[in-house]
Amino acid sequence: MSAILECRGLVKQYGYRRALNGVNLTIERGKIIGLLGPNGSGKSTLIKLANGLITPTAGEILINGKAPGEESKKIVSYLPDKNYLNEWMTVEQLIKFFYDFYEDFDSHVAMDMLSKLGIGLKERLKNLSKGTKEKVQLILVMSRKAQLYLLDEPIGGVDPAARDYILHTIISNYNENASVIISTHLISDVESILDEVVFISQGQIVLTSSVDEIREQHDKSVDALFREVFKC
Amino acid sequence: MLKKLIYHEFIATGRIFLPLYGAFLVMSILLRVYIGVQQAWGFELPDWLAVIGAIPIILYVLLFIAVIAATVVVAILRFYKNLITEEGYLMFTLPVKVHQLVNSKLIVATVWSIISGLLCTLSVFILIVTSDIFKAVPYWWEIIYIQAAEQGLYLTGWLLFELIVSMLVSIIGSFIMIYAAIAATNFSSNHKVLMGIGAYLLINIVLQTITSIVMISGGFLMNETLVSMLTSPKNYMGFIDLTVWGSTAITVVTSAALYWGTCWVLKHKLNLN
Repeated sequence: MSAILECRGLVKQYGYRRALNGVNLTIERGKIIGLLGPNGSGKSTLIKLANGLITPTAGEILINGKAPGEESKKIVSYLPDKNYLNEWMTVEQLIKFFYDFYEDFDSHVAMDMLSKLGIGLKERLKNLSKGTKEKVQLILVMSRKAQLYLLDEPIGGVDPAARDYILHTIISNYNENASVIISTHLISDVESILDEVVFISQGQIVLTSSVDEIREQHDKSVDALFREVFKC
Repeated sequence: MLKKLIYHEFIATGRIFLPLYGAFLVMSILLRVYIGVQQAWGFELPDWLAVIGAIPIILYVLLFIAVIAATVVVAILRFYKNLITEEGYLMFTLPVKVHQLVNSKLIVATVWSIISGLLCTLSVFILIVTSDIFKAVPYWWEIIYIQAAEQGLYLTGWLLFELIVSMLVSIIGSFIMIYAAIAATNFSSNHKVLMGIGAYLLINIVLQTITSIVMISGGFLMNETLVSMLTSPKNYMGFIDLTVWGSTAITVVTSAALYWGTCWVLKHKLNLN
């Protein structure tokens, strides 16, 4: 089976700034991968490229062997690092929207998670708190049976209790053939669920390794290694 | 997928148009009643109350303008906000083709424009129509028809058809022009609005130049035909056919080019912040 995500010589230039500088990366199926790097290292750029929201300056990025397009969007579930849903919509309308467009969306799973969190279906998004909005977004994204989940800073704006809930949601909702890429700089929070890590710095991949290897070879946690690699 | 996109686009825009249409219709009826009461009772407000008396008319005019303006403003905001800002993160990660996104917006904006136009006509009818006017319409129509025919203008179903087609094409063409300018915002990361306005002006200038060149060169090439058309009333209809279909054809060609450009940019040069 081909890799779920592959980058070859991927470059993204914004004006004079090079956000990604020749990234080569292969992500296999069935893994939870931490895409770790300081602010501005190119994490979001890489994820946006995988979703076709921006186009590469050079090189290529492939999802399941194909460039981002209609087919890749059927199998990729994406959580951006911003509020991207229509604020005027109710939670129920959003569920209908996802159900209409994504064949792999399971509205029962979504409604079950929403009711556990006490989020009403008739609530309008604009009336919800920032943290609750993020939870709604995550629930919608994780209620898909996708092959690749791209989660950009999924725990950035929520309290520690909500972080636990979100991480639990992630590991209990993806199947063994799917991969989850979590971009974050809050490493200690996600470390326990990661299989592999990719360190990215100034638009380049500086390390790819399994979490077990890091612990064995470096005798360190991922968080400690990150602090060492990215020491200011 | 296009059907689903259109459905959701109607939901998103209907929440603006339907209350606006409702308010406009109610205001039209209220104004009609107000004028009727004023005429029936024959009262005139004293000067110091005249301002208050004008309020229903002012409200009606404002709503009239709002109904027309909303068709353009909503089309701009929906395309920009829904596709180029944060909401674009959702729309461009849906498993749909780029042209389906554009088509859904275009179709829905055109439908609202047509409804707005019909509603404005209906509203004017509500305001002015009496049973006498209704009865007089066939009589007036006959007079207008005969008088126009004497001048060489035949108000036939065909003329109505070509005017409707040219109006539809120009409505669709105007939206495509707006969409093309908004799509051009992808070429700037930091000054998107400025880029959009600049692109719109540029597209306008280019299109007007093209239209002028085609018209002038067409005029030179068909000089004799045009002269014969304009000097003999028998040929007036031919002249109208030529100008209406000619300008419609130019709009179709330029709009097709802009439509293609819009889809190409959104597919190959998408640059969401």
